[in-house]
Amino acid sequence: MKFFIDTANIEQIREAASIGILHGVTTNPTLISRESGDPVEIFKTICEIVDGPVNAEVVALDGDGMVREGKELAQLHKNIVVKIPMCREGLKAVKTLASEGIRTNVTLIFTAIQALMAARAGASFVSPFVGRLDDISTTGMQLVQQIKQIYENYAINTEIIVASIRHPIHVVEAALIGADIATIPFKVIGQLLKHPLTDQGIEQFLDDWKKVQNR
Amino acid sequence: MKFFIDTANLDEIKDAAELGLLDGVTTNPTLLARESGDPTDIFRKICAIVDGPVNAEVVSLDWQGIVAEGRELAQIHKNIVVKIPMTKDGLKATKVFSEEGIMTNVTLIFTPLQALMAARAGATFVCPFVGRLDDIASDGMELISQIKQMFVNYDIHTEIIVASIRNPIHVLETALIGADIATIPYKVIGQLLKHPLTDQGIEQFLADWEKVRGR
Repeated sequence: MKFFIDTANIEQIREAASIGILHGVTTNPTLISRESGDPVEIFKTICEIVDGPVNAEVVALDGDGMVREGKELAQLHKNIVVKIPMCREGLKAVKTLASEGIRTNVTLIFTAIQALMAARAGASFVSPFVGRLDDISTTGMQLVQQIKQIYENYAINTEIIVASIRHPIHVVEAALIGADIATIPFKVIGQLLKHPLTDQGIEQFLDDWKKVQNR
Repeated sequence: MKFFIDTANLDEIKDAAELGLLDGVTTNPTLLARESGDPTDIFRKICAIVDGPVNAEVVSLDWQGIVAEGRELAQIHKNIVVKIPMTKDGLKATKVFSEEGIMTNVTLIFTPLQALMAARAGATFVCPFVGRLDDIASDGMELISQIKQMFVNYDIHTEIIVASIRNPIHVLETALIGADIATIPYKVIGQLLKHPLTDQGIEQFLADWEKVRGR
């Protein structure tokens, strides 16, 4: 499983990169709106830090507009992946961009067949949202399991990015299912590193080491 | 899983093709009766839009009649598949066509052994009808699981076209079972693209993007 970070915050991205577990970045218009500065500059800066896919989302709603925006975004850097919402016009845009060799990530996926359709239209990645399904009393991780099984049934190479991750258990289950990528908020990356027994263990070792040093 | 559309309506076929999600077309006499114009002409136009199997059904009941009709249909275009009802005469005709290299689809399959017999007679495709089984309180998708298992057991290459699809769950189960093809009515293709959380998500992203634009 590859670790992506789900943020547009440069400090958080630098921090994740410094611990050597940063394979890519996902952003969306909401995350961009939380940061100051020109979105294009933000994307360029992110691409300098991370040597992996950097997802930049289109905001047009018509297929032609999405293709136009997508081509502009793709020109910023070779690692840019054009993120496109799951809808009829979105799939048309994916088909066109894929035929020109531009990678796409179809986002806001909430059913396994949406993921199959996106893959067949030529998406390089799909982003099923688990947390938002949990929010409406539907098990989000079951969606990921179904997509994984369907992709295996038909030997589909589109990569699954588990998105809308809210807590460490989502990441554990993504890895157990064998999804390709988890895109994780900064806070959850911190939680994943920690375990109280790890902390206790370190403390104990250091205490014992002091005895050795005092000899 | 390949996406076929179950219609003879040219506008619906064009729209599905634009989405990049059209691997083939199934028609039947009922669907043709809903369209105006000469059936041969309709088949020709469909073949011009779709680069994949186009199913045209015979209406004769005796095997000699089926063979005569099927040969004529097959001459319309190289992608024409002759659709034949599951009967004793139908299987005789299927055998003749298979020796002549004409593709066939044995339709109105309601038991797994009908599918196995059709495959052994040389059918290229079989069409089990799931919705019509659900209608009589039998589990239509169970039929698909059984056919899939038998075809795997005997390494049979006849492709399974899940037909009489009424709702998105039929398509989801088709993909989870790993059947080759789902032939889907136009209305259900539209339903498959949509999820209320996708729509809500797009709205939220656009609202947040307005803040970025307002800078």
